[in-house]
Amino acid sequence: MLVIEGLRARVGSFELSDIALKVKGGGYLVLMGPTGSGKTTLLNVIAGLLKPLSGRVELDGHDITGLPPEKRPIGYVFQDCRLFPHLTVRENVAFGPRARGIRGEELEERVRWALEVVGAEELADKRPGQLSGGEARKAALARALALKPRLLLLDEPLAHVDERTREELLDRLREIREELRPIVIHVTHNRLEALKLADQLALMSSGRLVQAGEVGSVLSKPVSSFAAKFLGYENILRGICRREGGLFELEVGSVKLFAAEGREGEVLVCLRAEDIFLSREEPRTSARNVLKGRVVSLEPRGPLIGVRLEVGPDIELTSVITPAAKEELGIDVGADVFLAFKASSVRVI
Amino acid sequence: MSSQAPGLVIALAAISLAIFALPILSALLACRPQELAAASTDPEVLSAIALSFATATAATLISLALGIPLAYALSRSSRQARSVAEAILAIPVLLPHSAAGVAILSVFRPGSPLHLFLPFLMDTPLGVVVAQAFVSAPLLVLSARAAFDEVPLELELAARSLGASGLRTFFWVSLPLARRGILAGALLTWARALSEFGAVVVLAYHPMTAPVLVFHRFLAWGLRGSQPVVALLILLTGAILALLTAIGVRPYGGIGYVSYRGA
Repeated sequence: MLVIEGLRARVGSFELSDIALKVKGGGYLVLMGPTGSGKTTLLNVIAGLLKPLSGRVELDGHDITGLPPEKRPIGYVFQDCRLFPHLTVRENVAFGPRARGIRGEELEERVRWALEVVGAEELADKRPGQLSGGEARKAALARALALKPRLLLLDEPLAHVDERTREELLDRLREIREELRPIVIHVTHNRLEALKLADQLALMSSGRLVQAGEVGSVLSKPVSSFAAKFLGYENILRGICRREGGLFELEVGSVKLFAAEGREGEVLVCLRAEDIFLSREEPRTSARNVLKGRVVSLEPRGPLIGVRLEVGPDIELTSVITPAAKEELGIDVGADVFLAFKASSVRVI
Repeated sequence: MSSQAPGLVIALAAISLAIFALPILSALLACRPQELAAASTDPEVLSAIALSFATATAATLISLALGIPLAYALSRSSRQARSVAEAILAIPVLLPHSAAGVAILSVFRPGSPLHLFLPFLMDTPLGVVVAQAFVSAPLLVLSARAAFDEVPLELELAARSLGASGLRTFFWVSLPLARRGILAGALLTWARALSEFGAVVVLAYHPMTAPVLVFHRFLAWGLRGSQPVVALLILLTGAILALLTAIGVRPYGGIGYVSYRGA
């Protein structure tokens, strides 16, 4: 388990304040926040590359706050990869185990394993200067994994790579998680990336931890307007997903929805407010999801109006409309309306 | 296709090159082959050249041993500390070299606690090495410092995060990445030490190094007597340059680091 308490650190005029965080053994925490919110600084403090002003970092019951970086059982994949340019990928991967005293057959085996886990065997004899962005990320990941770390710090490991490589790396990260069971802290700007991997989510803003907790709870109960806005998905519901023909059928309480993509089992159903269309009459539409609802509340949102709708017992969804549409359709609190949204707008996590 | 320099620039460049080449060519052409042959078997000439090579190599090794830690410390120190230290290092380079020789002697003057070491330096090969190292080591330090400046701190932090201690990080990351700059500095240092005259004559006129021998023969026998030694030295220097090129010593060039931030 990783426990961070009362952590404060300073870099120039930027300050990280009162960070408290717990990640259970084998847990996968995704750390999100705008640029400059302190995510990388926090990783640097955890890795021991930046001394905190106060607070403590505890890993598996050991206080590691005062340990130099080389004594911490941590693997760190930097945002800019930081591969050693004078070494081949194989030598880069061997660097960590060698530095920690592993030699001979064991070292070779370790390097082979790490390269294989990330699918970078064919890169072994290349120099960093010969790698693409995606390949460099694989190499950097293999280098960090070769330490078999208890804690893996990933700073935007999937940034600036093409879609195919991102999907491949996502799969690799899932496999690593299964095989190695390290604690992972993964910094990203990409919400979907976070949702595909994380079981815990933390949001940072201006050097502070705004919210942290289990993914579902953070997503469904943002504690601040920042969190809600940052996460973007206003409608997050729990449901059961089943494959139904070419689509996925979602059972959310008494409501049935359809999604174009999904996976079977217990899921989170995410829907953006702007993807829900409202009408007073049953629409003739290609949208696979048409629901009946009643307007519960209206709230101004800049140039738009947020409409809170009850679509079933204890099931509410939010949509947005323009003031002109509100007038035209006569949408007011208590009005009965139809909601329509495409199966492809429904995100299943 | 590479762009062509303007005609005027090419003409000026040719004139500059000719100015540099003229003394070298005239020294070579003024020397008859039999004189060159005689110089190349003259025991005094050979021993002076051998001494120069040996002492310049020793001075370079000493400069490496003392200069690399200093260069690294300077590279990682504050701007103020660095400017003070580099000003101190610039003095031996800028000072007239005979004055540098006198400055070294003053360390061992009568009354100084180090005076007892004077016999080990006056007119000994060690004296030659000390004089050569004093005036040439700053070149190594400055060159190596610039090379260490090119090593990103981020790579050293990455090494630390992977389990390397500070010392290991230096030997496994910083030093290999700075090697080209250090090698360039070492070659400059060696060449500077080899050609050192002013500081060497003050400390050790004897045993004679090649530069001292040229001066000695010039004073004794004039141009005619010193030219064969000069021609031999020019040929040797050319051979060393050719050898370095042949074995692929390319002291200049970047460290090849690629940052994948936003790649």
